[in-house]
Parts: sequence; C-alpha cells; structure tokens
Amino acid sequence: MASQNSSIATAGGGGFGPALSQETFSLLGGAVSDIFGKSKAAATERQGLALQAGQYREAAAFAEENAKYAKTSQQIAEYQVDRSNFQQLGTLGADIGGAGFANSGTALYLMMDSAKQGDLARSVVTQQGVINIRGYEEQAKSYRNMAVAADMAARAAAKKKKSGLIGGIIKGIAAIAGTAVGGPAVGAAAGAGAGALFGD
Amino acid sequence: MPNIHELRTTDLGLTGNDRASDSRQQGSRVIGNYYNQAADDQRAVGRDLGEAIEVGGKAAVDYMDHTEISNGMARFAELQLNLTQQWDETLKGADPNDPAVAAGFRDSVVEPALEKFAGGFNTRKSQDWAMGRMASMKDHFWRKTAADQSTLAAVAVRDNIMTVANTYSTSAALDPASTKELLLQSRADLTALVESSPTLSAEHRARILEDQGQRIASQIVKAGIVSAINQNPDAGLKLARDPELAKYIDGAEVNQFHAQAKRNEKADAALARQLARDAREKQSDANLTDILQRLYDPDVPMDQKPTAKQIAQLPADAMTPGDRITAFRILESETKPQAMAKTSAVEANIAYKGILDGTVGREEIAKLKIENKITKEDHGFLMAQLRDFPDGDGTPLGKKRAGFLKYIGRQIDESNPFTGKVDQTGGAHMWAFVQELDRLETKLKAEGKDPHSLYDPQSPDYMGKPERVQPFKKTAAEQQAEFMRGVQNITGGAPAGGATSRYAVGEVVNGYRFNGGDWKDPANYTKVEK
Repeated sequence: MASQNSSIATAGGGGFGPALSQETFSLLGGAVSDIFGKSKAAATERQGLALQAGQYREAAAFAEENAKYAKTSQQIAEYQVDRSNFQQLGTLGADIGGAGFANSGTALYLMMDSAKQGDLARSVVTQQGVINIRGYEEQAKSYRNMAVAADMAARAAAKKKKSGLIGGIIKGIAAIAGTAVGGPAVGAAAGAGAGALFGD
Repeated sequence: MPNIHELRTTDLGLTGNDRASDSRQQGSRVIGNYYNQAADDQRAVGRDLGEAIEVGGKAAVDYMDHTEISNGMARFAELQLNLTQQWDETLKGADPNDPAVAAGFRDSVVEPALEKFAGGFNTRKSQDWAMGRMASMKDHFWRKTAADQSTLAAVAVRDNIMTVANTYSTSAALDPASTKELLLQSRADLTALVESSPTLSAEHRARILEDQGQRIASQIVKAGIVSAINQNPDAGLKLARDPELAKYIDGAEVNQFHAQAKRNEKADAALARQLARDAREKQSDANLTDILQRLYDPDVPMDQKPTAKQIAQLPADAMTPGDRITAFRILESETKPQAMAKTSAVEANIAYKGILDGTVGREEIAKLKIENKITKEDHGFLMAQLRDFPDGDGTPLGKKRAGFLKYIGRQIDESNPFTGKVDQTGGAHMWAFVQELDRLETKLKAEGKDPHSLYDPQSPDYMGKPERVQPFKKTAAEQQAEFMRGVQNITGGAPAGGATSRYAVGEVVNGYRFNGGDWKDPANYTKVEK
C-alpha cells in the first residue's frame, strides 16, 4: 500500500490519501477473525485446560489423601494384629493368675487398652465420615465447574448463532447492493452489524 | 475375682473415597469438552464477523469506487475545461518567446489543481483511475502548453518574417537588380529568426523554414521582377528568366506581367497623348476666352481688340483648329448686324438654362454668337456664366442661383397663362431677371456683402419676394396684349401697341443706358462710354 501511494504521488503530483480496497477488508476480516475468533478461542481453550489441570490436581490431591488413608488403615490393621497378639499373651496371664499369681498391673493395662480401642474406633468412624463428606463436596464442586463450563459454552454458542445471522444479513445486503453497484446501505449494514457484535 | 471385659474391636480401618477424584476427573473431561466447544464457537464467531466485514467492506469499496469514479469523471471534465481556459487566458498576455510560461503554468496551475483533484479519491481502484487520468492530463497539458506556445512563437516568428519579407520585397521592388542579393539575405535572416526562438518546436521550425522560406523567396522575387517588368518589360522579362530567380515565380505569371506591362506602356503613351491634347485644348480654350473677353470688354481700346491676323499667327499648340475657326467666325460675326436684343434675350435665356442643366457649353454659345442669334453682351454674359458653371456643376454661388431660379424662375418664364411654356416673351422676362440677379451679385460683391443673401429667404435681400419678382412678370393686360398681338401677327392684323417699360429713362443696364420706349428693343439703348 505504501508503494502504491508513493507511485500515485509521483504520477499525479501527490494528494492521494490511504487507499481503501477489497484487499483492505479481506485483511480486516481476517484480522477480526483472528482477534475475535481464534485469539479468544485460544484463550478459552487455555482457560479450559487450566481448569482441567486444576481438576486433575484436585483428583491427585484426593488420591494422595486416599493413599494416606490407606497408610493409616494399614497402621490400624497392624495395631490390631499387635493387639491380638497381646490378647493372646493376656489369656496366658489369666491362666497364670488362675494359678494364683497376682498381677494387678495387667488389669490396669487392660483398661488402658480398652480405652485406646474405643478412641481409635471413634476416630476411625469420624475420619471415615469426613472422607465421605469431602468426596461428595468435591463431587459437587466438580459438577458446579462443569455447569459453569456448560454455561460458558452455551453463551459462546449463542454468540455464534447471532454472528451467523448478522453475517448472513450483511452478506445478503452486500450481495443485493453489489448487484446495484453499491449503495449507502452496504457500508451502514456492515458497520451496524460489526457494532452489534463488538458491543455484545 | 472380678471378671474384666476388655473392649474388642475388629477390622478397624479407613476406606479411601474415590468419588472426589473420580468427579474431578470426570469434571475435567467435561469442562475440557465444553471449553473446546466454546472455543470452536468463538472461532466461528470470529470467522463470521471477519467474513461479514470482508463482504460488507468489499461492497462498500465497490460503492465508493463507483461513486468516486463517477464524480471524478465530472470533476475531471470540469478541471480540464478550467485549466484549458486558464491556459488560454495565460497565453493572451504571455510572451510567446518565453519558455518559462508553459513550465510556470504547469507547475503553478496544473500541478496544484491535480493535487486538489486527487483529494477526492479514497479507494485503490478510484485512485488508480484518478492516477491514470491525472497522468493523462499532465501529459496532455505538457504537450498542449508546449505546442500552443510553440504555435504562438510560430505566429510571432511569422509576423517577424512578414516584416522581413515585406522589407526585402519593397527593397527588391525599388531596386530589382538587387533581387538575388536580397534573396540570399532573406534566407539568412529567416534561419537566424527561427533558430533563435527558444520556444519553437522542431516541427514548427522545420515547417516555417520550408513554407515561409519558399513564400518569402517568391514574394521578394515577384516584387523584384514585377518592378523590373514595369520599369522595362523586356529587361524585366530577362531578369525573370534568371535560373536563380525563375524557380521562385511562375513563368505564366511572368508572361502575364510582361504582357500587362506592354499594354501599360501603350496605355501610358495614349494617356500622355490625351493629356497633351487636353492641355492643348485647355490652352486653346483659355486663349479663345481671352480673345472673346478682349473683344467684348468695353474697357479694351479698339486698337487692342483681337484681330483675325493675330488669331492666325497664334502657334499651332496655342489653339486648336476648331477654336481658331470659332474665333475667326466670331470676329466675322462682329462685322455683321447684331442680333436684336429682344430675340437675343430669349435665346440667351434658353442657353442659360442649358448651362444650368449642363447641356450647353462653350461651343454651343459660340455657335449662337456666330449665327448672330445673341448679342455680344449676351454672349459675354453667357460665357461668364459658363465659367461659373464648369461642366454644369457650378460654383457654390452659381449653384445657389441655379436652385433659386429653378423654382422662382417659373413664375416669370411661364407667367403667361395663355401661352404657358411656349411663351417666348416669358423667356425674355426671365433673361432680364437673370441679368438683374447678376447685376445685384456684382453690386453686393463690390459693397463687400455676401451675394448669397439674394437667395436666402431669411435675408432682406432675398430676390424671391413677390414684390421683387412681380416687376419681371407680365401684367394681365400685357399678357392679353401680347396674346392679341400674337393673334394679329398670325391673322395679319396691326400690332396692339408697346409694352410698359421696365426701366426708367436714363437707367444704365449692363453698360447700356435706356433711352425710353420699348424696353425690350435694343435700339432704345445707348452704350455708355467710360
């Protein structure tokens, strides 16, 4: 374009301003498509991927927590095996006591053990409840995220529909006006349509 | 011994919950799908928008192309007209030999106008169109201004060439012998004139040198040869046959000039002879007039009156044979009885009318005298009137008198209701009136007054007043008496008596004293001796 204008200036003594051409609007349309289509779509995709990554990180976090739960459960199981062994030894002690041997410390120990077992059982139940609750809560969050994404997709689809309609109208007007070698409606329609889209 | 029951719990453990992670994974997939779908839609929106802008924009550009080119055509035509008019105006006062005029017009008028013209185009197509037009117009005006100025320069050069050609041709006409030398000089001048012009195009230079060169040469040669032929037809013809000159003039034309010059020679000779004849006749006329004046002039003593011998001795070129014979006869007529004054008056009056009409000249008057139809006084008077009315045209005073007599004279000349125009006595009355006018003119001139006043109706001297005309008109009684006398002449009866006298006894009329009686009878007058 610059070379064109410079050649005009040479031939006609100057005076020509920037020139509009069909190529101008091809380039402008491409630019608009890139800026308001591809670029925005890329941003949306990037946003979606980020959300996906967040989701997967959340899933990983919960998997890690499940691993912790499994470890805790292993420790509880080990504890209970240990405790079973201890109970075997307790039975042996009772037999000893039945033989007349006094062992007051054992009773105490038994009491203490029973208390631990109770606390443990309660803790396990509580923890299990927390695990279940968080599972549902996370599920709800995930569903909400899906709903937000669906809403966003719905709005995009609505814009697509609107742009398709306006684009069709503009093309139609342009086609009619072009048949009659232009007309003021063409530029106005193009401007109005673009304005409606940009302003939405 | 107390029975101690210990608390037994079996299968204690935590069960991991996959719901959250599963949900997150599912959500991730779903969200990904939705975002991908939204991104696709957004791309579609951008694509639609871009296409709409492209299509609408192209249509708008088409419209602008059409509008700007359409308007541009009208503006272009107007611009071309304006520039052409401006250039024409510029040319009117411009020096055709100044090369800066065309360049200045292009730089200061055409370029700014085209730059302004370019401002109305905003699309590439219309700018391309305008650019083409502007280039075309620039080219047009470059060619036009250069060509027009060259044309003007050519006109100016042609004017100068005309001057040169006229100067040289005049010189050639004045000195035909220098024609060849003038021809060479004119060629050199023409070349210098054309080559020195800064604005003449090569085409104009070539054309001027070719066309004007031939024309100037022809003009100079023609002027020289025509002049030479006119001066001496045979010598001029010899000059025209000089090979250096012959190619510039048509041979047939030269022959025509030569033939015409020969005819001119003859015509000139004839004219010279005629002029000599006229001169002789004029001299003869003057001499005859002088003889008659001396013959009739009462102041000339008798011994100085012209004689037949003197007339016979006059040189041949002093008097024509006809005039000489006339002079002899007039002298001879003097020896015979003079005409009656009454009949002379009638004849003189008729001759006088002929003088006024231009039908009577010196010869006719002389004939009247030779035949004794008029007296020598009337002859002298008529001769004097003839001098006043040369060729019937007359001097201003004579003309005025002629006009006066044309109307007033009828009252006298045709005053007889019985006889009308055939009344001979009316002519005598008229003649007396004319002589009276002549007398009064002489009198007024002598008194230093204007004799024209006699014929001016506003003047107190006006002779057309009834009381002044009346004395020259016959009374009813006179008319009746003359009528009756005419009848008696026819029937043989006696005259009925004389007429009433016009002049008092002793009154001098034209050098004669009236002695009383019939005023029309010459015998009743006596010449007054001075």
